[in-house]
Amino acid sequence: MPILPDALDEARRIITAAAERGLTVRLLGGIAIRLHSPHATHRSLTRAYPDLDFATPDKRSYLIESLLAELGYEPNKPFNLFNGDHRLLFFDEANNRQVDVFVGGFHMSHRIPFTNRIAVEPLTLPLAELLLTKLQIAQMNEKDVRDLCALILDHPFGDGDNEMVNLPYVAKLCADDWGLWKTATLSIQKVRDFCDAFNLEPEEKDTLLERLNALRQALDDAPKSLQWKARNAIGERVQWYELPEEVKRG
Amino acid sequence: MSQSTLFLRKATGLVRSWSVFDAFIYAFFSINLVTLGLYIFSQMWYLEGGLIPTMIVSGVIIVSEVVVYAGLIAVMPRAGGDYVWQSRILGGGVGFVLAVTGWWFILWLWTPLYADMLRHIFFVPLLGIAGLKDAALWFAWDPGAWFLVCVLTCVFVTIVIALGMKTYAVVQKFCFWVGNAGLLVVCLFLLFGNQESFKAGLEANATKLFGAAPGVYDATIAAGQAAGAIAPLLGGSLAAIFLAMPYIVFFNLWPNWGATLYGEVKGADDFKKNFAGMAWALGITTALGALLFLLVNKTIGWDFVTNANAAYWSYRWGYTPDTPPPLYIWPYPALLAMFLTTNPAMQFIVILAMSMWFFGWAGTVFLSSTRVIFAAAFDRLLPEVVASVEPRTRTPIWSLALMVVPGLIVSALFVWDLLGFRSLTLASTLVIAVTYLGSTIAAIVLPYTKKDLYEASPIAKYKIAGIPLITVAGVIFAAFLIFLLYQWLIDPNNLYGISYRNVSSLVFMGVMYLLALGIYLGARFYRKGRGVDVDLIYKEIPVE
Repeated sequence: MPILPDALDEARRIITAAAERGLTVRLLGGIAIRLHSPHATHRSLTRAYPDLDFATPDKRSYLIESLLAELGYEPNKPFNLFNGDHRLLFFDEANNRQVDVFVGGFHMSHRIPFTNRIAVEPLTLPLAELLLTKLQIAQMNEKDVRDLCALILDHPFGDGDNEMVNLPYVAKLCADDWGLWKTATLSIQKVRDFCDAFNLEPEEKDTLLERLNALRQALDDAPKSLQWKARNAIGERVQWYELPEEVKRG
Repeated sequence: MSQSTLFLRKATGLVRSWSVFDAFIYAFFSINLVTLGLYIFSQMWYLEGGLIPTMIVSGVIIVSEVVVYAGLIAVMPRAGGDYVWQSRILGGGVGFVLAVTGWWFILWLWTPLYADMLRHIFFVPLLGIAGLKDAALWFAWDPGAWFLVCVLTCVFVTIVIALGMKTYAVVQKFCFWVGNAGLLVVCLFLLFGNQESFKAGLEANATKLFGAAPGVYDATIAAGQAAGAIAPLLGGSLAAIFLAMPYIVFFNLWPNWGATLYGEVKGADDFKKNFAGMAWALGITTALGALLFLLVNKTIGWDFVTNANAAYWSYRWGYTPDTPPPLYIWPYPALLAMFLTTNPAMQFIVILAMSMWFFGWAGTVFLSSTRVIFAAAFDRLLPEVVASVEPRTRTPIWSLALMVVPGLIVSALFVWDLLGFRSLTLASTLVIAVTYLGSTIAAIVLPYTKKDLYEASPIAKYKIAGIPLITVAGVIFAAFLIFLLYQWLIDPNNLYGISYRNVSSLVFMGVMYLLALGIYLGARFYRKGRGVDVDLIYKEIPVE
């Protein structure tokens, strides 16, 4: 079967094919948020999805490489050779689409673990992880803000993962890592600042701001680790995030 | 609205495996004071240039090398380093032949040298301290034991490389801190000890741990004098200092050893960061070396150390075959310092900590080389399979096999001194210096032959009197390399043992260059038959 032009259909095909081989693969990124959030197709929040991003536990990631090759993807061989223990890149020439696989954990501006909770949702990472992978971005772009607006508008915060964002889990990760907390709080502020640009209905904006406030409150109220407090004493004098470098296509 | 801003970040990003600090540690270990340094200093007992001024003057000159490589990395931060730069600037044939000889084939010869250092700073002292005198002396002198250490070195290196760059960085960071803690303790012993307590400690420990005869201090001085030990710690004429450099660069020519890895280092297009990482490694190592030897001079006595070195190497090289060194092991300064105590636990812990200088560095023997092999394979000069990993462990088994198997064969030739291989120690440095000369010439001409690439790079703004900094530094470093090559190959004072008069050396190096040329021509012919023009590949800068 050739690669499907629709990104969502193709994502489902990959996840199903992986499951048939006993492999766990889950979507993350914008396309995963679109799967969960009707607002992602809202006229003001819609956007293009040039990439498919997947997460997989590190065990047997080599089977993902062979699976994607079988499914018609061209591996970025130099990239995968040097980075394959934590990242894999593939390309779909026909649809001009890149597939990015995070192996064993998500590491961009900050690290977000996902291995232990990868099976919570059938197609994507849990909503809490999807939120965190967006909040952790030190240099957010407009697409990231749109994704966060959609995700937060469509999902209340709660204590579980069933179509809600697991707020205690998000707060716990941020309470253990000052850098993540710092970037996440800045990201919350950015969403507040830029949500006006998306022409949301007044009640939608109220809901968004109310939930952002609740999120910020939870991040502030969660008991902090000793490591968090020590890093907090240093503050912004030392850079607290990493800046991922652009990867040119191989 | 607050002052929040959004960015135009593209979709795909990557946090590269190594930080600038990781690259610094790699450079710091590559000019390894405890392994390379102590090993080669000990062989310089018959030279008249003072060790400390030779270290400092050569270090200052080598700053030009750091500028050259920091610049090349900033322009093209690619896995494969010298191979990519030379093949894209000077041409594929030159680039391939020089890079694979200097970054691949000659590393086979380094395998027994790494192992020799390992046995002398790890197995021999630790077994002796543990009370296993016979085992210690077996490791010290038996060729079979040395070869066993060659095998163990290859196994260790294969494992640390297979663990991947991130884990490698963790291992070397651990070794960096523990090794430096060990060195600090050694320095404290030397600082607070004195020559009388050292003599007493030497007498007590050397006889007990390694079976030396009583009176080992005086006997060592006498044996060293008889062998002709003269190397001073300070002083020496400028000519003598320069004549010591073809030896000392075995230790300090390598702050750029991570050059082939910079495709995996964060922010590698930042010239200042690249320069700082390598220059700090060079500066700190030189300062540590000077400090250590001033302390050695204070407490052990430089005279004793030089004579012990002369007694050891003149016997081992066969100049005085009937006069075994009274100490009867390689005079490892850290072990000599630990003779200031008779507490075996303290001795064992400190020597074990000092061995981290080896274990944090050992991967350098093959790690940089694998990237050159990968880059050549991506260019289709080598079979594609050598740029692959074993899928389950992600071990680059083919590239490692291309290092390990010939490395063990050369180790056997070296260990059992077949075909005169033991005389080739400095050839290990010469061949790499030739490769560096190729990259240096590439750096000199880069601003003129690849004008667009250079002008678009972050180093274009650095000029001296209107001449590009990389060109100026390249000319200085090229002159230094040419001086070294002249001394090694012509050797008018007959000091280094690898000149045109050493047939084994010439044949060994000649075979390597011919092998590289053969692979290059064979690959071109093979690819041409399949419609692939290798010259077109070399016209493209490889992707990151």
